Amino acid sequence: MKLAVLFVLGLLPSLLASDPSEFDWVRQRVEELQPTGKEKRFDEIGWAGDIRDATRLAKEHRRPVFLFTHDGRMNIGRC
Amino acid sequence: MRAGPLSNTNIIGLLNQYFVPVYVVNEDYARKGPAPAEEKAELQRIFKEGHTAKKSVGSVHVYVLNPEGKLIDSMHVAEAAKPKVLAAMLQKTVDELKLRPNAPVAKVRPQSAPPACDEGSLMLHLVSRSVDGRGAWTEFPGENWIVLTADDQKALLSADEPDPAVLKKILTHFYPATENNDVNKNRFEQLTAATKVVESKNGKARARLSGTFKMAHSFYHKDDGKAVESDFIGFADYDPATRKISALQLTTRDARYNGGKFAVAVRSIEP
Repeated sequence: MKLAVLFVLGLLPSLLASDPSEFDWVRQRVEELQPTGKEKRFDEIGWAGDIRDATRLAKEHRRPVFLFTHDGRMNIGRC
Repeated sequence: MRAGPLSNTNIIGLLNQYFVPVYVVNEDYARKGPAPAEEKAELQRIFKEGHTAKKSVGSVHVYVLNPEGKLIDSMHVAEAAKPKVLAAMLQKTVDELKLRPNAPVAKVRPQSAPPACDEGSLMLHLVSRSVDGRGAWTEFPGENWIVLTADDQKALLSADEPDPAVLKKILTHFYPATENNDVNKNRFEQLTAATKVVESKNGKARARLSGTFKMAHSFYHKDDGKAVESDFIGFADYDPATRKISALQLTTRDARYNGGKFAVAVRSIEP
């Protein structure tokens, strides 16, 4: 399909009334769509940076390592 | 895993109090991936130990290493995704190693963090989520970080025809959860946009951005003809003299993909 791009720049701001309700609607919708605490519980875990960091901390603190290997980007929900 | 066991209070407690948790992205550890060679060698060493010990080994798995780094347990994700099963596996390690609870040893911090950017850049955070419960993986939203350089900001609000490449830099992330997250494969088939100055006083201005677009985006990595059809609307506050944006917010009123509806929110984040 042919790409169609149309841009219009308003150059007379004094003649263009800003709609505060539309601005407030955008602001509120952006806020409502943010990740919730329930969706971010994964962030409550103290993750090591990589395997070598984890094994170093494990030796230092005498703890086992829990390693999860996965495809995609679990941290940003793009997986 | 993230929406299941890794959001489970019991498992979060076990991991934080007794383990050093770490996750790795297989794509980074592939032969051409960006992970350091030493990291790739460590993962291969763990796989090799698993094969030698005849334990379960695979790319999407959980592994438990003892404090010396030796593999002592493993599990396929299909089992590990069951909170009770994973909790039992972790508790077994706690009991066998006679571990005592303590505070997390790695810093607890947001795992979706903005990348480094040059001074004068605008950092944008994007959230995309299903709004009708349809589609795949609707338990949590997708996120992206987008950096607009000083030149990008000028181009977005240029008095001449704005550069569509800057808009596409943002809009290419407007898609719901899909297996395919390679935005280089996205293809814009239509883009209509308008930028209108709606306020200008005391050296500050506000522009309204709006438009519609259609973008081919395959669910999997093979071309399947699926496309995002969406509108967008938002506002940018900026300095009219320099065209530097101080705040930007964008969202969708009607975004559709593969028979489902989703919504996107973009907002600038203070560095």
